[in-house]
Amino acid sequence: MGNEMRTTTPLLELREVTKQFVRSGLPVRALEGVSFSIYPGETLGLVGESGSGKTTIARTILRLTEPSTGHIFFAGRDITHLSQRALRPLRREMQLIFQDPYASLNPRMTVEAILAEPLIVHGIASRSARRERIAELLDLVGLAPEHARRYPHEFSGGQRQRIGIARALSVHPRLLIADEPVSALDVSIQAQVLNLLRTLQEKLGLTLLFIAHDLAVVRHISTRVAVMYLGALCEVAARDTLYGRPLHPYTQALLSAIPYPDPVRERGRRRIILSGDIPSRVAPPSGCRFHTRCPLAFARCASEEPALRSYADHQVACHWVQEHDGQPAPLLPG
Amino acid sequence: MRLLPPNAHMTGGEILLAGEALHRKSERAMREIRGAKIAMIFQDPMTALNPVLSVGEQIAEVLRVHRGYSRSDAWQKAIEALRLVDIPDAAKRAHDYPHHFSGGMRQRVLIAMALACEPDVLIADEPTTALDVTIQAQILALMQEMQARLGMALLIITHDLGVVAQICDEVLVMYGGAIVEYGRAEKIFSQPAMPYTHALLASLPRIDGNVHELLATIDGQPPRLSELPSGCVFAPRCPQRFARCAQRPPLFDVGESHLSRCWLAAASDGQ
Ligand SMILES: Nc1ncnc2c1ncn2[C@@H]1O[C@H](COP(=O)(O)OP(=O)(O)O)[C@@H](O)[C@H]1O
Ligand code: SF4
Ligand SMILES: [Mg+2]
Repeated sequence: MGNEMRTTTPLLELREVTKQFVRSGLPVRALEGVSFSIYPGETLGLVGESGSGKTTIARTILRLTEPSTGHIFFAGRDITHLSQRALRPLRREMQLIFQDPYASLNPRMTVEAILAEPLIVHGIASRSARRERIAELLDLVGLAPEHARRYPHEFSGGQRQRIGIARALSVHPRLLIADEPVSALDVSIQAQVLNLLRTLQEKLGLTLLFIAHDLAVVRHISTRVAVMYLGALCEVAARDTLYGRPLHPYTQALLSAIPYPDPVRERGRRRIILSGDIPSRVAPPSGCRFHTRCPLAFARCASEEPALRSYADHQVACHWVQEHDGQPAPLLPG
Repeated sequence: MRLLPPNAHMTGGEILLAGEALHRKSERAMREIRGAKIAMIFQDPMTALNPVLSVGEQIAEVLRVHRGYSRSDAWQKAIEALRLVDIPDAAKRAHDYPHHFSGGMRQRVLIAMALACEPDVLIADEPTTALDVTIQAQILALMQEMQARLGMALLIITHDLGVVAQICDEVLVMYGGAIVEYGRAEKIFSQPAMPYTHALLASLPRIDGNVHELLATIDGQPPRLSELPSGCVFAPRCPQRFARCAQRPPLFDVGESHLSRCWLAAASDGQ
């Protein structure tokens, strides 16, 4: 999906969202001027290492966490300061799928009760219609009708994630946010859940924000991808553009760090190995947050924060890329 | 390592190190071997580090016990060990406690401690699973460098097939508590013999895979060790299962020391 869709209004837009937490008296800068849009029907993949702020973005969109500054628009409407009451109907339109499906399902409720709850809360279906809807939902996520009577502990991790997906879909949301939905699952189960999400997205025309730290997983499901480092976006582009011609040094390093499950390809591989540690959130680096580990960093990088700028079909926040008119950082071999 | 919890014990088989039977050693002899000949690193370095001792003291202690170094020699060697694993400012950081280090740095400390006595075998149990991918790349590169330098054997336990492809020469695939396939890495990845290995490799999303198709999947769930099937452990999920799979298959040799625990391999068994 390229630029042709940009004529429509985004379903979701974040504009310069920042979030600062306070932990033991010290400010933790979790999000730094984050701006991006998600258009109807697309899947935006959000990748970043742990602590980069992915979950905080999800929670901020749902207003489970209040942004410190900036604005959030849903279907063109500024929802940043809506009261909890005014948000109620919107909650139905934005649903969340969690990383740990077990912690998010009430162990004392049957699957039927779990799926009925949002229908009741949002006053969606009559008692008899509810039955039918629950059967329909179970079928949609590949569970059997008799599963309705069972409790979460009777299911495996993959099945629990299916229940979580069914619950999120029960109220016909327009935006689905999946926060690391397969990270906690056994490798042999991940493909089942990824396929399910992708099939549902296509079938129901959902708009999806898919959050993960695994670039191969994100590539498989996303139409566009955003890369985060320490609370700020580094690069946003259509999937094939981002993986095929990454511009930002951090995106390149991330791609280069992933081992291919193929010993023949691995043997002669040259990797970009970043030196140093991921810096602290309490005292993040000045200027570009990546400058302490970036092999290309130059004087400007330590003093001035790079803005996310557009270059053809890319958005990139990097001084080097800017000073080289949108050329890719020269880190990747070949 | 003979470190099973009290409610677990070896029920059969042999464990040999350079031809010596470890399972027959006394606890005292084992203590000699642990650390000096076989060392281990873990997914969570905190479980192996003492939180109330500085990292320098911990490494120095290993050296005093196993190598009989004096206190000051051991301390110097400990700093050297930290330097070897690229801990910046090693002489100063040796005085710090484990919680002063980040996850990646802690794993380096554990590697320094494990390698201090130049063991013959290093066992690494999910050493990078808790780390971010850019830090994982650092630690894997460090382990490869250390292996080349010290010439030790490395046994890496992981669920990540990418990590296996990056650093292993040979692979043992386990499923339901049993070894189901064994062979050279290139063989296992290019021509997996056991249907489980085959299905697992096919189900991985790849950074260069075809995104227009759905991923191949493996039906069902991994078995619980308390209720293993009586036949082939993979049979309930195996797309190729047939009548014989109701019996437990042995490891068959499919050629070039490539072993597969699958009845499909019975025909090609060269034994
Ligand atoms: N409620 C909170 N209070 C204090 N700090 C928080 C809170 N939630 C998140 N953080 C901090 O914000 C940063 C981003 O966290 P998070 O959004 O969970 O990252 P990710 O999901 O990418 O791993 C981390 O440094 C985290 O410790
Ligand atoms: S702005 Fe500078 S430090 Fe940041 S990524 Fe670009 S070159 Fe590297
Ligand atoms: Mg998270």
